[in-house]
Amino acid sequence: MGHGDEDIHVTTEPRLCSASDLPIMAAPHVLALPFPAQGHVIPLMQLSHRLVEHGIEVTFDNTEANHALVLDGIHLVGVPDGLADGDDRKDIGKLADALSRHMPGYLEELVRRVEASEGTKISWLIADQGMGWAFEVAKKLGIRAPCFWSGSAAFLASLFRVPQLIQDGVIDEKGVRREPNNF
Amino acid sequence: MPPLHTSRLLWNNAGAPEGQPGVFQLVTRNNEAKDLAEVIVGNSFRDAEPGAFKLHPEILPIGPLVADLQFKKPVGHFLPENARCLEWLDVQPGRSVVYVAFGSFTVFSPHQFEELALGLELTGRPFLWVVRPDFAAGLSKAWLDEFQHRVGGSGMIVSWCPQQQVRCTPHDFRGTKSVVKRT
Repeated sequence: MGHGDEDIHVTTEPRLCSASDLPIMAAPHVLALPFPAQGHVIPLMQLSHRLVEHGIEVTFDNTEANHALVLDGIHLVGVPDGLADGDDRKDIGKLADALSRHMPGYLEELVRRVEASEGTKISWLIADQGMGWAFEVAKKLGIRAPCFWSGSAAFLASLFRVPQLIQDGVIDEKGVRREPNNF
Repeated sequence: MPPLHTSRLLWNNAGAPEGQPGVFQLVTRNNEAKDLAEVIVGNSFRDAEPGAFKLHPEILPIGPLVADLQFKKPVGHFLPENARCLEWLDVQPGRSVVYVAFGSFTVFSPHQFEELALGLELTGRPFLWVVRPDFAAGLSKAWLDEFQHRVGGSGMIVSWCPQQQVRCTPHDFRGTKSVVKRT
């Protein structure tokens, strides 16, 4: 694994070294946004550690409910998830609905707050596939955004195939199966 | 990609049936939103599931992710991990232990719990079972105490475990979904 210091050879490329490029040459600052469930948080935290190894600055954004639960290591921040204290966070539909309605605003505010306090611009938002609304926020703010999937490719493929499953008549437009068959 | 029965699709396995339309909506919305991301990265590798990567070559494999090879860095476990199970595993015969874990969302009824417990007992093999504090609400404590007493040293129940380390022990836990978990 290369260390950040070994990667500065790019600065020897004259065409990359103009004065206007200097702010970008500083350590990139990544905001990591997991879906707030255990099996999504751990892999993104693992990826974040590897990015830090490469000299990248990482701010990890948990929901407040989960923020209290994790240990330190990376800049940890928390934003509200839109649910009340006593709500059931294992109800994925309800959780995801609250997230998509309340978190975009909180995320924008967070980006501004982190940029102000750290003095660096957030240039990347690595968001979980389950937080689709975050890609709209990234686009609005002009931040580059890769989509992070914490599980198997086969499982993600089963989600990506929904339009075709509907077209083939395996499920209807509401996801209910039409025939007891396989695909 | 192996066949998948419609009953195993995400929205048919995410909490109570009344939540299914909401989860399905989330899936379709995230399917559209992911097109705003510039790349999709997944916690898997080609050799693990060549069929899925062939079906969706746009998924860039970056896994399996580990924070560090010594498992020293905090990765955001919500529950304290019981490291005693590693010592316990070390003294079990190689390839003998059944590892049982259902992630962070799944809940069992007391009846389901008792059935699985009795099944594990019947296998006559040592087992390591992760039972979160909120895993089986309503389960009789007296029943569980008696079960644990009965299986004694051959079965270990922990509330959470350092899974990657558990899976690095020479027990070859075939057939579990836990290399790349869902939630």
